[in-house]
Amino acid sequence: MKQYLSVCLFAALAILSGCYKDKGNYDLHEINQLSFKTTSPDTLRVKLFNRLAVNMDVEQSQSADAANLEYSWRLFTWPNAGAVIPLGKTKNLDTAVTFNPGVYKLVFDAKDKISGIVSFKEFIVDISSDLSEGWLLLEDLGGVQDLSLVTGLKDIYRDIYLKGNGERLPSGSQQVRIINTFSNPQEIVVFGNNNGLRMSYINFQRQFNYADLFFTAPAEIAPEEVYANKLGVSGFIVNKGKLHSVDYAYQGEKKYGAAKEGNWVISPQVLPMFASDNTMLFDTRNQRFLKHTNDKIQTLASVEGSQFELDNVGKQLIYAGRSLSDHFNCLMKNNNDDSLFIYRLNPEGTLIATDVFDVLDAPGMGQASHYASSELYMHMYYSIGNKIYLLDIPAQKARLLYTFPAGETISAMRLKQAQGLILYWPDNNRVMSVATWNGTKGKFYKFSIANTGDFSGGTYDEAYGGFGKILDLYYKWKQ
Amino acid sequence: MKRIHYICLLLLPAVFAACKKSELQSFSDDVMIYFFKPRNTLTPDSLTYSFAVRDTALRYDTVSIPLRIIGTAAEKDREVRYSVIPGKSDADAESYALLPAVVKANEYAANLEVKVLRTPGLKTREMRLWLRLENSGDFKTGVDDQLQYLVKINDFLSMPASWASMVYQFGKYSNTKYDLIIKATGRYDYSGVQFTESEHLKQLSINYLIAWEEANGPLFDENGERVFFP
Repeated sequence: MKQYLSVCLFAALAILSGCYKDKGNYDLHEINQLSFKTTSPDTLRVKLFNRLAVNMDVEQSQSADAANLEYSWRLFTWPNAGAVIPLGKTKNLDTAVTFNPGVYKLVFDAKDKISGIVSFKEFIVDISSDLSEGWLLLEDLGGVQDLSLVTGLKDIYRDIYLKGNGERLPSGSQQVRIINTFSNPQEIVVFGNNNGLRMSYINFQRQFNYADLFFTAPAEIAPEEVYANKLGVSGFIVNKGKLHSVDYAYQGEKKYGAAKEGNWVISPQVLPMFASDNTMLFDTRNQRFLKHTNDKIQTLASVEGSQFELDNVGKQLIYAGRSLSDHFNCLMKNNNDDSLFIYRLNPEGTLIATDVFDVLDAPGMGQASHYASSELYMHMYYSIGNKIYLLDIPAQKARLLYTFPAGETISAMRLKQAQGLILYWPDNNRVMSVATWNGTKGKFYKFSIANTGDFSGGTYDEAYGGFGKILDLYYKWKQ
Repeated sequence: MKRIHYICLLLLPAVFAACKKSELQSFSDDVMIYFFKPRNTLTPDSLTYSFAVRDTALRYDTVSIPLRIIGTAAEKDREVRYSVIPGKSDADAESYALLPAVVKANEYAANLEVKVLRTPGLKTREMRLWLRLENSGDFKTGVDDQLQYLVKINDFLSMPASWASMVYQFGKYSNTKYDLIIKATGRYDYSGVQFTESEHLKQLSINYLIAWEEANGPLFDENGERVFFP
């Protein structure tokens, strides 16, 4: 019995111990808060191979012991933080910049080892080289072609392809494009009627011949246009009236696939859309607009309210360019070759065929050498001979903006126009670059565009000489 | 009460015995062998070998089936013994030959290899060859549900295991569609094909179909359904 009582007593004590009042400390305590001070600005601009240095002062609210803290500096690609580069674990950063030019996010972490709490501060780091940004000019130099770059600092770098490769561009090079992708490095593509190549955006060294851009090269090499959609997740090539595409956002080699065959001939005048693999196209064989989406080219139905039949335009497309509110302006010509029209499309909308404007008074517009549609105003610029005109689309008439000296013919013209969602420039659509050729020398001009669409002051801001015949030009963003 | 004290005294050594540092144990069981089934593989426990997608001049080939061991590597080559399961297999004897299998010295894995021969019977009938691992002087069989493997041999088109990775591009399988894809792309196995290339293979197939139908009219498969790609 005694034993039984002892066991019961022991069990009772064990049970009652559960009722023991917890005298734990539940008062709230302030944590050791960290604050950062630095003399460095939030945006750091640094040249390739220079040093990236940031001094940080870290203050603790409840301790003066710096041994409590751990630090780290990391660099993330931006805007797609797909890669991270660890830079160090010291309080102050001082490292050589050997990363590819571009924009990055720099993150400084300080961890309180006692509380485990991490505090951080972010910086934007803009890494550039002398050749990162500026107008890239494709020149013909007496039968051979090369590239020059005119930077925002008014420096001119000539023969940059020759210097990077020891040879000139492929014979017959005529056009240059800069493709900014969401997840891949910037691409510089140069192409002619039957050849082309892609080169490094850093040192301009050749990376791929045109045929090697494809899983299977087209039977006939005849590049007509190379472009990406606005988000830069899909790329496209129009080769001899056929569309090829590549998905930058998916796994696998970033090569262009086989042509999308069908009853169409795709115009090099294209209407890139926002995202996915979407782009609008024009079929010159059947004179209709088409849409590429989900890896297929599809015809387009015209919903109620359409101002023209997308599937049966019945006119020739001369030029397509971006306009305000995500629209495109398409300069159309009727088949009798006696009238011009501006067809406006909103590829992202349910109602795509939004407007039609007659072009009543625009001297020489049908035979212009170059066109440029504004995203700021309902305007379209065009050049003919040595003159630049501005078509006011709603007014249906053009006005002369500028005349170069007699004998100087416009050989290239392009608006500074960002590709889309991943780029932004303060002077987007505000700079018109024009190249001229007088038979022996080429010149390069930059005009500022005023709020009326006219050139500010009625003339150019900058002029540069000493070029060959400039065949094409394109703005290279800072990568 | 005394008895409780005795019990406590008896238990104390047992409690402290748990504090003794244990020595690392080395593997001392029998070394075993089993068919290795990699994760995410398309052919975990069987494979199909079709002569129909190979060169017409090809008379024989070898299929390889991965093996793994349980235990330690050895300093000498070790024999793997295996056999055909008579009741489950229906392959003609002249359509295959079992090749010697060994786990090489200092290795933990090997391939079991079977020679497959192009016989006339394969044109009309898929032959099933069930293999079973057996105890040998060097290995005992291990992992009970990974001791058998099925090899299917034929000389007509049949859905490859890697079709599963291309359903998004190719859609529903048919022999007619598969034949078209092989002609269009030159590829009959889609293992490891990544998305960007898969889209390319699909487009090559669509282009081939367009050209074929322009010359011949609509293409219908063996089930009477029109061939198309999603």
